[in-house]
Amino acid sequence: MRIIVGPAARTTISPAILIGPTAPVVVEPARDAAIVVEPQAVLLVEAASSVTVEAPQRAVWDDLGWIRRQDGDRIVYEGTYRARDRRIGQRVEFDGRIVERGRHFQAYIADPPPELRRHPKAPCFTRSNGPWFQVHWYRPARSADEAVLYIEKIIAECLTGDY
Amino acid sequence: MKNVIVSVAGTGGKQEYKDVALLPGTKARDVLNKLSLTGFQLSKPEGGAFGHADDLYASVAEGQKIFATPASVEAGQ
Repeated sequence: MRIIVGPAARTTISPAILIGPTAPVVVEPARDAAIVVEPQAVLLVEAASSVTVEAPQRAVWDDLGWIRRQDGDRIVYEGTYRARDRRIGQRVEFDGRIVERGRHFQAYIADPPPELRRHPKAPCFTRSNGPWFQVHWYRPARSADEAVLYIEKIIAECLTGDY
Repeated sequence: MKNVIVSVAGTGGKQEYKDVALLPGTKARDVLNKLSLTGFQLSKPEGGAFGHADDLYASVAEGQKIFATPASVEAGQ
């Protein structure tokens, strides 16, 4: 027997839903002024030319930071005598003054270290005025340089006890 | 090797030996003899004076300036 399969009842199919593109979309550049990025004025960086600075000739007193001034017929050098106190591991300084008159160089030191009292040259340092002690020469210094360096040597010997 | 400058006291900087090259073990007297600075002593950078037999090389820094001054200067009464 032939079997026929078919709809049981009349079936109505609604109109098909048609899905399709909408109106085409056109994308075009904005009509605002474009932002242009470009380099500003060109910046050129180049190596600077090398410069050589050479220290001028200097006397020792100048190298050590002393200053020199004219005082009537005298030249006065003022600065500090330096030494290293190994007990405290620090540099110590004592105000100094050298007075040049003609070929004579008179040296002074202010408030020398108390250890000077035990140095063999202690009698050569006599109190002059206020805190100042005058140094008396046996073989005089012939320049402010020599005076400064000699007194620094004495101070160093005082602080180390090496004399 | 260390290079130092030796400046002679009392010369206003006119007698200055630049680029004095020290080899390890160089003593103060070696420098004075080489520079013909008879009767001079070298002052330490921090004050004081080198003994003639002191190791100069070990006590100075590269490029440092040290001073030579007559050893005859003496205080006395």
